[in-house]
Amino acid sequence: MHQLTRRAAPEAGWAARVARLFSRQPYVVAAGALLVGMLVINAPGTYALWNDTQAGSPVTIQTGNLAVTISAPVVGAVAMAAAPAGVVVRAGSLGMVPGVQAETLTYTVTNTGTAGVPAKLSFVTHGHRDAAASAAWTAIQPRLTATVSATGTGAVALPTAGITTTDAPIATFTSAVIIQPGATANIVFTFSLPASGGTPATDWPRLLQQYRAGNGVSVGSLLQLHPVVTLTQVPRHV
Amino acid sequence: MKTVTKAAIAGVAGVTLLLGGAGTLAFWTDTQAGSEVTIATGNLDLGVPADGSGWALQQNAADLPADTAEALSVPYIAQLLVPGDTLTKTVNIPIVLTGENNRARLDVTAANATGALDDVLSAEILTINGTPVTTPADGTATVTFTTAQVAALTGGNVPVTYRVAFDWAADNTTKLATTTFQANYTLTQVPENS
Repeated sequence: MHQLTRRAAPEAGWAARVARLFSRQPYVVAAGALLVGMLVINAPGTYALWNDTQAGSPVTIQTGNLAVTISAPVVGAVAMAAAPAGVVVRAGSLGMVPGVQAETLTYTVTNTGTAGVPAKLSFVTHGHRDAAASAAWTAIQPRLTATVSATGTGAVALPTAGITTTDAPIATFTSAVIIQPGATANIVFTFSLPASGGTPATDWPRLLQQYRAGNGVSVGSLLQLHPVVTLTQVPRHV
Repeated sequence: MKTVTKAAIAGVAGVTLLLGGAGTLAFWTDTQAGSEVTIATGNLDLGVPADGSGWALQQNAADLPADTAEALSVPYIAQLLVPGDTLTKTVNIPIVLTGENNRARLDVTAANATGALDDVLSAEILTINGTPVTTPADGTATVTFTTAQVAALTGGNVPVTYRVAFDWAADNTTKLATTTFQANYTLTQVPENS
């Protein structure tokens, strides 16, 4: 009978054990109260202080863009020297005429960024030669002068000796050219051959003419160059 | 106990009760109320921040000559930002602080941007009420005011100047991004002797 009463009594639960602990240990109760009081004092907002909060008006910040475009090359010509007697250069002709006219390829680079930021121009010239014209290339390359310039800079010689039939970088051009937003700069490649010379003496115009006749293609296909352009932001007020 | 004794005790108790009861035994009396004192509490209030000078846009790139970096600025009218740009602004914070022993701490938090610009936009508080402050790591600069100091403010406003800087070394991932920046202000009472 006694055992049955103990099993049925609610004091067997956890609540009863806590109640018995507090009833027998007044110090436990006091410590608990102290802990609760400390928590109340330190909890944010529960220890009353006057306060007020305001949020400033938001501002939306949007970043811009720096972008570059490069045109297709425009073929042109510049005179090297007066044509010798018996040589007639047709007015308006393009392409190389050894000793008389140099061929130019002009790329126009435009700063198309939306952020209105100036940028410095740099580019890497890639090039390869025509695989079918190895013999002509071997003969012509040592006499070929190839230069590149950007607007406002002097021409820089391009090393053509190492050019292979696989397109690869051949020279890096880091200029001080600053292109303002929306403005352009030109990259100009110039190719020229002397009228004659070399050891043994070679008739370059004749060789070039033979190359052209033999390949049935333009001089431009003998060597192909193209720039890979990079614009790098510079401070606005520079 | 004798009957006489009981009677004596009862009599004394009766007389005592009679003497203790108000108004039941006549004495001359008079009553006056003290002068009233009216108690009024003070106030602690933050008004709506007012855009003082608006935003100023400057290019403050790392390799820009120092004499040109801060001298050249233009009003910010939602131009697209680029690395090296800074936006500076002074905001007037209306403060009301009354009460003899009132004292309050103004916390200004210049929240950093989030998203694509999280790592490249930094916000800092430059001055509070004209005094240069250093923005701690948590982004909250603090200045404490007394009622006298608040009373001396021009127009009751505390000018707060802060700056948002777009890191000059930001890479291409930060192009064409958008974020919203907002500063938060909290005025909290502090003990007078703090």
